[in-house]
Amino acid sequence: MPLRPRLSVPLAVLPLVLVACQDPSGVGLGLVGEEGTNPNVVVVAADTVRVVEAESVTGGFASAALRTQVRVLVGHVEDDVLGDATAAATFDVIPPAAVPGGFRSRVIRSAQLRLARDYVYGDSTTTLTLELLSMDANWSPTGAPPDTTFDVGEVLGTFERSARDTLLTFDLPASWVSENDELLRSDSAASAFDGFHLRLAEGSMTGAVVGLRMDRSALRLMTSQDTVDYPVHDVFTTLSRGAPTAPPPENRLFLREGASEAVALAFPIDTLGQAALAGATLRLNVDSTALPMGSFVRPLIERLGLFGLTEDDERVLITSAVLDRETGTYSLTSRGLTALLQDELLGDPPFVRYEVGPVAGAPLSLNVAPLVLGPPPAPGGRDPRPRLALTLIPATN
Amino acid sequence: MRRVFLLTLATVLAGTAAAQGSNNYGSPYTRFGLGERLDFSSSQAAMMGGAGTALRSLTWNGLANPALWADQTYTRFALSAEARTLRSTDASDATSQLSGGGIGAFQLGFPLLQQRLGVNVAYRPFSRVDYRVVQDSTFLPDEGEPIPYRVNFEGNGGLQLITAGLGARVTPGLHVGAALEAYFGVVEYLQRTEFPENDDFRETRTTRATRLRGATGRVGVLLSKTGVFGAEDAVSLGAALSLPATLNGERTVTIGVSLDQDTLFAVEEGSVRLPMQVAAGVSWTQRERWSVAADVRYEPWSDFESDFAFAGVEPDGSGLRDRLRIGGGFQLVPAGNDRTRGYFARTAYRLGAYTERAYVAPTGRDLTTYALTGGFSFPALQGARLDVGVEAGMRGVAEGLLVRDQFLRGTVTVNFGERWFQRRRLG
Repeated sequence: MPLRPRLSVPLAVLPLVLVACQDPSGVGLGLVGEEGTNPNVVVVAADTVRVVEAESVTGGFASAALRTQVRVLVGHVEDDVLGDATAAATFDVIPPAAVPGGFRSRVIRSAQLRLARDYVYGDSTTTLTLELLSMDANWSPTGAPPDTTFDVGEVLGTFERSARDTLLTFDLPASWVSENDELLRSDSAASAFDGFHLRLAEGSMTGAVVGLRMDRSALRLMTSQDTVDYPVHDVFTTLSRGAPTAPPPENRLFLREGASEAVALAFPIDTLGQAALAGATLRLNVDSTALPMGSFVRPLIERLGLFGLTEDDERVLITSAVLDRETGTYSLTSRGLTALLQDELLGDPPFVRYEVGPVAGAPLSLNVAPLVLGPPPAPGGRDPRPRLALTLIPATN
Repeated sequence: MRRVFLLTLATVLAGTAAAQGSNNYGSPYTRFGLGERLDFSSSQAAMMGGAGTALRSLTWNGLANPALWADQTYTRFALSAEARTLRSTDASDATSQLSGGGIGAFQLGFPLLQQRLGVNVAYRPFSRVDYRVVQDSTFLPDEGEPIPYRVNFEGNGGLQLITAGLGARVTPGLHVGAALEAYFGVVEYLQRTEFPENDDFRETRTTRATRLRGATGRVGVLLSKTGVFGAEDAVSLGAALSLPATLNGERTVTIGVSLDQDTLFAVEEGSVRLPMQVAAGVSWTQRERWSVAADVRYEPWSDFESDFAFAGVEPDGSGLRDRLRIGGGFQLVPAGNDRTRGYFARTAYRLGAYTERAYVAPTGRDLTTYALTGGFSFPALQGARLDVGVEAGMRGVAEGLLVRDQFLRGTVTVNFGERWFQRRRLG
């Protein structure tokens, strides 16, 4: 006689019932020997901190779909502390995704550039004398270094605008409107219209560089019936920044955005041995008091990135962090950083060098990070220097 | 009915495989030495206190003694699976509940000459490491609030054993056997640290895995005499000896966030020398109705040597004890050899017990196990049996650092018998 069917069900369920309970605990911990397995936080101060050259990207695409660069800079400042800076903007516009019915068959009667300002570096009370020019040749921001200048066309007007204005408007001349009317309403407007160049008027004096948010700016075209905004697409800032005339205060280092520079860091972690790494945080303190106070505004860098450089000089963003203004600290941490440093500890470094610097794609600025390099802390005190906090897991198992 | 049988088998195997795959944990004592030492002779012997050295059977090929393999009449295939649960209690009365399971043993045997010369090939575990102990705490980062973490101390693996050999009848009262035994396996200690409430930290795994492999020989002898206490009974005395084995291997230490991404950072080569294993047993059977058996097993682990450090073991083997295991039990088949009786009369009922002094001595104290065994062997398809066994016991004491384990183990073994490789003859 074969196996009774009624027996098969309990037999089949037996193993599942037996393995259903799992409630591990510390019972037996003394047998295993748990001593010395607590996470051990080791803080390693950087033994090398120096400014190095790094490629700056000052152009990109401001349109909503891409947003690789949304800000252009215009103006000039003379700054003994962080170096003089001069900036001019080039940008074009494209037709919006949808226009009112019949717009393309109606004549454009007027046009106005409407540029949103969201940033000032320098004297925010100053008035800028700006010169608007047309671009008469095709240009591209892709791969262009910050000192690139493009061929410009005729001057469309000179305008005085306060650095405090949040919306800068420029009425375009009627001759320009009639000259570009058909082009702007044509199907080829996106590729055939070359845009504008905005710069400080020649010979004018100013004390500020302003930033214009091009994703919030537009060329406004008006017909007898319509008002249509053409959004900004390609943007580029021709930027030059000189060297400071005075060195930074002792134990301070200025990391300047828009100056094609980064800060290379090295840490003596090879003495830590081959331990398991659970977490890693790079902390950088800033000292805003190292910058002169007053009406001359020098904003702090909002977001810093940590980059790894390969043997081929390829720059890879590892992680980034925003400035904690309460503590004045950038705390850069990620699981990816931990994994990379784990490889370093095991003698298999993935990068030849590490740098911190502005993150590509962030709104362009002339901001600064006045990094604290010292002095070393008193025993038991908090270390203000650039440092790695490594959470190591000792292995006794 | 064949479908019911196969469905039961498939579900049992699937259940145990699932248990093995996800939650396979056991006693913290398995951390010591090469892990918990396991003996498996047959499902029949397992339910009779593990007494199998002299337990003759035409249905179950006992692995405890190669001399038993001469008794085969059918080609037999056996596969066993188990599920187990364990409750550990420490001196503070704190408890830990763990469970596990998996495929136990696999066996294939067939006669070359019926009841004269038989071959047997088997796979079974020799030792098991499957502990899991956790430690919950917090640590203070360089800045900010304390961060909770959990350290999982886990052990995995153990040694497996493949046996292949012959058993032969020299005279009706004397059987001998010999087998080649190949050991292989990995003893892995894993320290896994988790940070359940903080995504900035990653789980770390530090693994120390020792892979071992080697071979040795095993010989056995069986003396039987019929009509000792009655006309239809038989008494058997058996003994088996496994020679010391040298296992070569290497130890690797890895660090990583998962088993796939481990980074090797150390390799160490060496060897381990296992001691000999001696077993002796006695059995009495009467008309296949009653079977009574008892065994003694002795392994001088004080002779153990290792180039690798194992928990609780010094390199010269000190810290270990000579393992001693005594077990016995009985089997009742109400129908005896009468194939015409009812189903439950042909079912085998088994009961047994054993005690064992383990070869490891955590904190220097002997580790003793007491257990009861029992179960049933149900007739299934023609020539097949389905054995269901249970083992319940306790090990150790809840004193000092030691813990008391209470364990319950269920086993299911399918045992097929067919005429293979044999010429059918009429008359």
